[in-house]
Amino acid sequence: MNTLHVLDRTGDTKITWDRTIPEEVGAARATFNRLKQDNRYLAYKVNPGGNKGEVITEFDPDAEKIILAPPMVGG
Amino acid sequence: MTGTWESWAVDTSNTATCSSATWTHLTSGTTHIVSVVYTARRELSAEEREQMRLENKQLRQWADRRAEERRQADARADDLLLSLLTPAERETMEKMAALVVRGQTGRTFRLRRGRIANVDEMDAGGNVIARFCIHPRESVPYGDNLLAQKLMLETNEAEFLRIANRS
Repeated sequence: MNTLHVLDRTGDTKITWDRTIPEEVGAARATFNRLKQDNRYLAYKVNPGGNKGEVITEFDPDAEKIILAPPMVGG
Repeated sequence: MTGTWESWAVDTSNTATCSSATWTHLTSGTTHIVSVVYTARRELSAEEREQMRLENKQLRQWADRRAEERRQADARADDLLLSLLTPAERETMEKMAALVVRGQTGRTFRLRRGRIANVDEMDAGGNVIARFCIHPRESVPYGDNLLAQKLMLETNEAEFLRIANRS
């Protein structure tokens, strides 16, 4: 199962998809595009266990785990 | 200017007038003499006391719910963060309550738990040489804050430093 984690005030909201089920892939892709393009979230493909993340600009249905982080601002 | 304050607090109604008092505008420094009506607390009826008790109970319940939601959010964010760390990073996190991150250019940053100016740049001797304040636009738990900072430093350090306020 692949997972999209959207960082938010609840900790994170998880959206999972099975890459063999087009409807699930489509739903995850739609969420990704909405937050990435409309809300300018930052998207990273990550792997459990500590490998460094990789910036992605398009939804990758094969990614095991994607993190969507809200845009950063200076404090 | 002479005036009368009709009420002092919402749960009071008895009044007693006293002599004039001096009122000074904080902003302009202008002094006005006003006639102040002090109000005294009156006994609440049983019905009002019951209403107040119920409202206080609801407030406590709301506060308890919010605290529990925050606790769960913190736990969820910490779980996600820890799942993405190497064993060495996890150990540092547990010992120092901080993450040590090597930025894209090789510079070393220490991310402390916290939201305000929690990013330290360290020199080779472990001394803090700069401090940065940067965080996600949305309010997120500490674990998510650290994760967002870590991922950005590792993948786009220049943009991180451009956005962050340095002190």
